Amino acid sequence: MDQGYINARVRGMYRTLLGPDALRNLILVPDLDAMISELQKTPYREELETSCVRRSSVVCIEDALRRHLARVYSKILAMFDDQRESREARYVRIFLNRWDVHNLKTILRGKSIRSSPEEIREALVPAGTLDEATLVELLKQNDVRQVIDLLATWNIDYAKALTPNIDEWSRSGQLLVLEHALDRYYFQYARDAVRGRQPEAFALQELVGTEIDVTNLKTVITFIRDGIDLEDGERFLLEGGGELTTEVLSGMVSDGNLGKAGERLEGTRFISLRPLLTEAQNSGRFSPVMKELDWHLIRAGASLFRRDPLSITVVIGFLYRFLIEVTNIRIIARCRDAGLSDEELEAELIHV
Amino acid sequence: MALRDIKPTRSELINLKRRIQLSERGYKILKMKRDGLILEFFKVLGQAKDSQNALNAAYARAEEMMAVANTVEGAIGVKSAAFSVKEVPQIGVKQKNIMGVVVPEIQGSSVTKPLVDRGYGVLGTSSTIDETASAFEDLVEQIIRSAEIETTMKRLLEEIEKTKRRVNALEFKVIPEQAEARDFIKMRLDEMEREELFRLKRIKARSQA
Repeated sequence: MDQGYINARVRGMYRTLLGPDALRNLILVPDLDAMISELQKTPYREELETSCVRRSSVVCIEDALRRHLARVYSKILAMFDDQRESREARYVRIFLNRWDVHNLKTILRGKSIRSSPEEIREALVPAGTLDEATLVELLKQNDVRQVIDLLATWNIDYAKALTPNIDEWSRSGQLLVLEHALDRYYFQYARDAVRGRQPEAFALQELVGTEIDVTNLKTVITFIRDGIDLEDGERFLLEGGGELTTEVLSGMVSDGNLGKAGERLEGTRFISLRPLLTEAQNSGRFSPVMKELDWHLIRAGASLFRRDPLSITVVIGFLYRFLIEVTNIRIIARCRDAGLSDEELEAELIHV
Repeated sequence: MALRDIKPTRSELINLKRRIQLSERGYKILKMKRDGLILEFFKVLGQAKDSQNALNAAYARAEEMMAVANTVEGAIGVKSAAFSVKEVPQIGVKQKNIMGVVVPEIQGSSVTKPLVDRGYGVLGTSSTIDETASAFEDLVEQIIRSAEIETTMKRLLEEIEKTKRRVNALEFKVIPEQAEARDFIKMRLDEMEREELFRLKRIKARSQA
């Protein structure tokens, strides 16, 4: 595999990302129609033309972003078509698998409440390894069990996570069981895929470790917020975090207080969250600390773009940077739609 | 009651007096009921004002949280989480009695759910979605509370109107008409008594002459 060639192509794609000036222009536009006109001067034009035929304003922008995201990710995945089992392809799949997990969860949720396939389809992002045709076939199934059966019939890896849990799901009726199995599978796959002693493997081990830490911290904060006991919640904690062991996390849950739990982050890179945790404990608003955690992960991912110019980290870094761009455009559109001020909008944007 | 339809007899007078007594007693009781209902109404009105303010606040917060969730998670994330809501809130209606007025007592179940019962996975779902779900649960609870209070208020108002109409009818129509009829019978009976006396005197005078 010619990683240099792929990296060159990805760098070319990186150049098409919207720079700070283009984003500033989007922020300055007076309304959503002007924002659509502005976006039509960018690589989003094609998707906007398709989406705006059927939808209007903010829905059109979101739909176009979803389509563009899927197109760019499919393009990246297609670069590895001739080397599907290579280490690099596996690394890319770690990132794209999260869209598969999102899509599968959405399909399972939709099927469990008997939503129409069209309705479920609108909430899917075919940006993962499961292509649109596969998702459409899954949508045609009548219920949750048939979806899992089809995954097993087609030998799709996610069936390995879902099939052993069907009985428990049937007994409890809680979809949480299947969703949790999918999440665990995703993280287990990521941990297995980044094993190795190559420099890029180390970089990705660090990223996966950070993602697990961030997910665990979010879970711990949720448990403390909702007063969930450690006994009930321990099964939701993931192993393999970069810095936070299960003992530290369990200790945080046992503390039952975010201010106190923050003390246990001493000596880790998450210590900067301590004031936010204390503030969340006092105000009862937890989303700022969760947002900070998300940003922490996104920044860690995006920083990979400049880490090693010859390795796969360029591609992974680009995937994160592209996600940031799409998220920022969505934030601008939604803030404009909700009539938020420029300061509020600025606070929501993700800066790298 | 037209005076010409009244039979000016003693028994009718006795009946009429009884009816007047009954009407006056009924009038007093209905007046007390009306006053009691008005007091209750003002109590409920105070609650309704608070509940309306709380409902407006809950609605504004839910809308705000939805806007934030759409911004942070996108419509796709919000929609995906919404698919996991399997159990819809159930509403149970009982009855209670306020001064003879039957008012509803609305109880909602499965409105506020703990995190693990919301249906979506704990991992990978953002706090914004949780906060939005909580805000909408609060809104539904507030709607149920407001519905109970406002229905109670409407029923009390209807009953006050009804009682007021009855009180007015007794005070300005039934009792005055009955009193007029009583006076009329009394007058007719007195007249008849005088005629009888006069007749007796004439007969006596004739027989003596």
